[in-house]
Amino acid sequence: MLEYDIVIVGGGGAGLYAALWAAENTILKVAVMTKVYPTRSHTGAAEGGINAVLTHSIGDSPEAHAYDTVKGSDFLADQDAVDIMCKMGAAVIYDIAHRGVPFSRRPDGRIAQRPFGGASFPRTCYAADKTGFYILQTLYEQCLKNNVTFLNEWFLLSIIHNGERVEGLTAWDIRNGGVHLIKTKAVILATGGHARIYWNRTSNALGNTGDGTAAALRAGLPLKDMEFIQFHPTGLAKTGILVTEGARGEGGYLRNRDGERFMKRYAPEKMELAPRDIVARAIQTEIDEGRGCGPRGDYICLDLTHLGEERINERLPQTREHAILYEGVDPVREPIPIAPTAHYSMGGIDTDKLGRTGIKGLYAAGECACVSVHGANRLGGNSLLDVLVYGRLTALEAVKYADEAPETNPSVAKQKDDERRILELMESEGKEKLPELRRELGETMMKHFGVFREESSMKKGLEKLMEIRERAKHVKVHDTGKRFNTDLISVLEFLNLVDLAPAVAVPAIERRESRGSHARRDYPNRDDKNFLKHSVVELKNGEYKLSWKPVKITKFPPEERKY
Amino acid sequence: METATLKVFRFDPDKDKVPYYQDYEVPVEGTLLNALLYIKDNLDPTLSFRAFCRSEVCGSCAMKVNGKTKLACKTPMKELVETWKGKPLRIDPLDHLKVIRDLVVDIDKPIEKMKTLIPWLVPDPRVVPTDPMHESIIYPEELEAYKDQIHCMLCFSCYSACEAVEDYERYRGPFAFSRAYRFQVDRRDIETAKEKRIRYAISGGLWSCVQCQKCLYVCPKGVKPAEDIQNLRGQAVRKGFTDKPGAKKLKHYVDWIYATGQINRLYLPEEVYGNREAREKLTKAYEEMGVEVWEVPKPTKGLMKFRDIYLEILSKEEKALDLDFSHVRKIDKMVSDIFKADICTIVDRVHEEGKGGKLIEKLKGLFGGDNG
Amino acid sequence: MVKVGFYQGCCFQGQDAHMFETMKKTFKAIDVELVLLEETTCCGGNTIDEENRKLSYAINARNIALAEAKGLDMLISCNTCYMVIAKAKRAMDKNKKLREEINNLLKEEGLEYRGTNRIYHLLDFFRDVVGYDRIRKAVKRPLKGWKVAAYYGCHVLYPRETAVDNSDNPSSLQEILKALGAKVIDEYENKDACCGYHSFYTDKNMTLKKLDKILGSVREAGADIIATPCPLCFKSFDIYQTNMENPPGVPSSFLPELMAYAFGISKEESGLSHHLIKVEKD
Repeated sequence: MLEYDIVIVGGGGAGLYAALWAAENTILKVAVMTKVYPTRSHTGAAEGGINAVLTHSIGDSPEAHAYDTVKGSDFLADQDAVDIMCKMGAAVIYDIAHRGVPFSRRPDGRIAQRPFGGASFPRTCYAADKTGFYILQTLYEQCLKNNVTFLNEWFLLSIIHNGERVEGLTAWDIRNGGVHLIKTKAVILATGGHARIYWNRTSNALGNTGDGTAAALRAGLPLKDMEFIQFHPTGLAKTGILVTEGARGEGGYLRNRDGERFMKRYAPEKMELAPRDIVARAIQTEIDEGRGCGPRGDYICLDLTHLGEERINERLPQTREHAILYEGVDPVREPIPIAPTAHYSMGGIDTDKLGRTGIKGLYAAGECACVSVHGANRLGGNSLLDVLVYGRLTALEAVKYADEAPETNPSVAKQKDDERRILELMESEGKEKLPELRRELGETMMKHFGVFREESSMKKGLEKLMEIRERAKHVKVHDTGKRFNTDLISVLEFLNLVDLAPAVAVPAIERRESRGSHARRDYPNRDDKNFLKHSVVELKNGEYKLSWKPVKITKFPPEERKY
Repeated sequence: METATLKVFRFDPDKDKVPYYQDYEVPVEGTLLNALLYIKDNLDPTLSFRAFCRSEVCGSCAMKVNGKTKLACKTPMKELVETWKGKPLRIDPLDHLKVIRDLVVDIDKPIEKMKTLIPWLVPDPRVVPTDPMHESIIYPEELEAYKDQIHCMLCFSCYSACEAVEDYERYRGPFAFSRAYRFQVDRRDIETAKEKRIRYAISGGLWSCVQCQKCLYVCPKGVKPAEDIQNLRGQAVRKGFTDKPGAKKLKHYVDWIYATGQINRLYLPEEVYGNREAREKLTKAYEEMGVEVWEVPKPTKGLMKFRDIYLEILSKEEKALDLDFSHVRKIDKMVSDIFKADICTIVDRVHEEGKGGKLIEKLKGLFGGDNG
Repeated sequence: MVKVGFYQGCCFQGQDAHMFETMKKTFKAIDVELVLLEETTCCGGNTIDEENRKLSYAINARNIALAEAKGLDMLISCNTCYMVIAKAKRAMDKNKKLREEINNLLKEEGLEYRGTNRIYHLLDFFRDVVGYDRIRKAVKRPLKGWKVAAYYGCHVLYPRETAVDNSDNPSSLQEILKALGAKVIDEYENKDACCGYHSFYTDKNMTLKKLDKILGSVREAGADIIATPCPLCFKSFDIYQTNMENPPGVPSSFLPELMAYAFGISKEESGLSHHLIKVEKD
């Protein structure tokens, strides 16, 4: 049995920042457990930037940032938490800058900031177009400097608690095989989002399968606001890989099957440059109404051909490379097939404003958590901020707690249980095939819980999800080896996805309004009277139980979200 | 649909005595990573490889195709088929790393090696404020110094392709030097750490790099480790670490090229290794073959102007003092002793006499025919 | 008759000046006139870059400008000179500020880097300008029965930006050797290993290990001789080989020497008989 005082699950931005702050503020035994090497985490794919009001942001204020965030969230964010996050912005930016993050600078040497969607001031700090990448690399360097203990390529199986306190974890050692029991006083879950429930229609990495969120759900913890999934309007048709907003910024056109620049019917003034959610909905409407391109009419064309080769090479080199590589289309000559792609999970493990869950010693930070600071819709540049602020806050909370917490005594029952579960997967008769079922899951989610939602469709969708969840029990792990068994990991990840998908579906059906990313055709308006509240899903005896929880409103009374 | 055969390295130490290759027929579509995922989904779920972001940011899927290091998600199948002209594509795990299973290798060792070079910022309190709410000022042009190095994503392609790693166990690896160098040119990093990095770099094989440039070629992110190694060598010499052969070689190049426009291969063994014998042996060998040996290179026409340019650049870069003028004067004396005139006049005279005078005459005799 | 400026570097002057004579004859046989760019200097050998990269760019911008002044493209035989000069050209073409700064200095000498000429290495020059056919036709003494191991060396294949052939699966050297009538051996174990030339004065041991590997696998593959288009790789094989504890005695050749010999020039004049490791094959 491995023993630590604090185990951080996940080695992305939140996990590493938590590890760093824990390492520097305690002599307790801290370990980071991650299913991939830390620098491979999906924080590294965040391009845009990180929002913060800095000391030289003249005219801006943390209050203005908070207001923009709350408004962007369609008033579903908890304002006390948003207040904390926005006030800590400058502190975390300076801290990571001092640790070496190469932020882009103004001519006077101060950190540069640029305007971003939904923000009333240019407050997005950035490091070229690889902000998340540089943050991740820098945090990793600093963790090496501080001799942080890493359990690299370990896969979280179960969270063990006694109903009051967390006691430990079980995990699979990917490299050597085997279920391990880990005794610990505190656990910080920082396992990222779960947009892979849409399987091939997501911009997320192959492994963004909500492992921590699913383990929390199975351990009886409530998940919050799971119905809110942010869609990015332009994902490559075949893979969902992101085409940057810059492609439209540079003057790209969106065309339907008739070659029409359809945005004129949705946002006649802003056209292709309308906010993300509006563009995503417009594209989805065109596809749904039969004006999509291609043999199946399931995508829209992003036309850059009029920009010319030189401009494309200079301004959008990555877009060209990705279109050729992943779509087989050279944007210099042909339009790029695109469709909305699931991008970010606003919902997650229910925490309070300091990242604490209902179980003592158990915390969640970053995309796997729902504090909530993003409410029904996250603003660009706020996810990296969330990751750092809550990575740090949960670390300090965990240190404080673990310092005084009693020794824990996790039972080996869970370990035996997980061992049996894995053995069963290997011995299953294999009636169902993972790739097929996974594809069905993605298609079901996209079809019934995609950009637009509607009661009867969602009900059918939920039935289908429950059916897939049932069939998933018959998926077989064909690879019986212990060592680096990626077949096993794929199946375990899939089992996490099938547990999470209904947790998205159930509140999506019950939230009979449109708010933020949750766009219902049958309830097109926001309904504050009935739904200005968080949804909470719990798994009890195999049933998904929905309840509601009030939203914390302090300074900003709800108003119409208009830009 | 066009297909290609992948011959994939398979090895599970728990089950296999020796590695073997397994053939898979895959569509020629998308990237090599697509092909591997196709295998996993349709042909063989037991194949192990790493992959995560699938869009060139995480560095998980580096491997070898017919011996050449590639990032699978960045390598179009079509390109591979064209390059190898229909030959089967042999897929191997990265070199120089222990195979865990199939295409998955153990990367802990290169990470441990990298750690010895202090690849993190050690803040200089005079530049980096200790007050967390105080910003440290960095000018945009300062970022230029390390704009390439920071793209390293730890994919270990360069470690696999490296000629020095291949033959020197302790060699830290190209990426490690690049990641260390990144802080050598960061004003926020404290001088004592910079000094240490150089010392550790030297003991980590700084002078063992063969400059083959393979690391530049295989890096999917445009990092140039071999060039950073050159930069570090320059820093080492400037910080006074001049006892290594490589440092003496550099001095030879700097001084002789300034003095004559050429290096002097006859004097290299002596100036680097203190080996006088080599010159004598080489001289004798050449003479036996009937080739006249020049103790100093033929001074280049326009040499004095060339020297001006040379010195001007070094001055601008605040490196003029790196030239050892006493050494240059010695070279000048050798030149004037041989040509019986001072360096300024020789340059013109040699050329007036036509293409180097007596040597060429002699060569004419040796080879016959005209030589324009 | 094609005219091209020939950059000599350090390998075609001093005691190696005879090599230029061989080159001239070889090229004459395929209708190419080599014009010696005599005011050029050493490229810095990819070593001056350690002192200062800008100095390397300046030296080589000057070298290129000397060819441009004559209205000539530039032909380089040495892999390293080729790479260093091609890198300098890329830097000068891409970086306007650098170009201005260096041109300001070159003005003193009446020179200007304009970026108007092409830089060739032997391999792409033979492939693109001369053509394999013309080489084949110039052969008077086919290298029948010669089993020649093709060795490219690193700096013509890496980095990507300056490579003259497909870096992963190059073919030009094999094509040339085939045109000479030789039996090409291009699948031997360490064909991609570095020759170790550049580490001889930084880490000698490294050089000797590289030689051991390459020469060993060449021998194992049954080759009579190694052919390389790079005079430095050749020097490593021929001269540094003698520094090995047990020199395997594998003969090597600089590609133009083999060409000269195949074109009917005597072994003595081709330079083949001037090697430390004797070339016995006739």
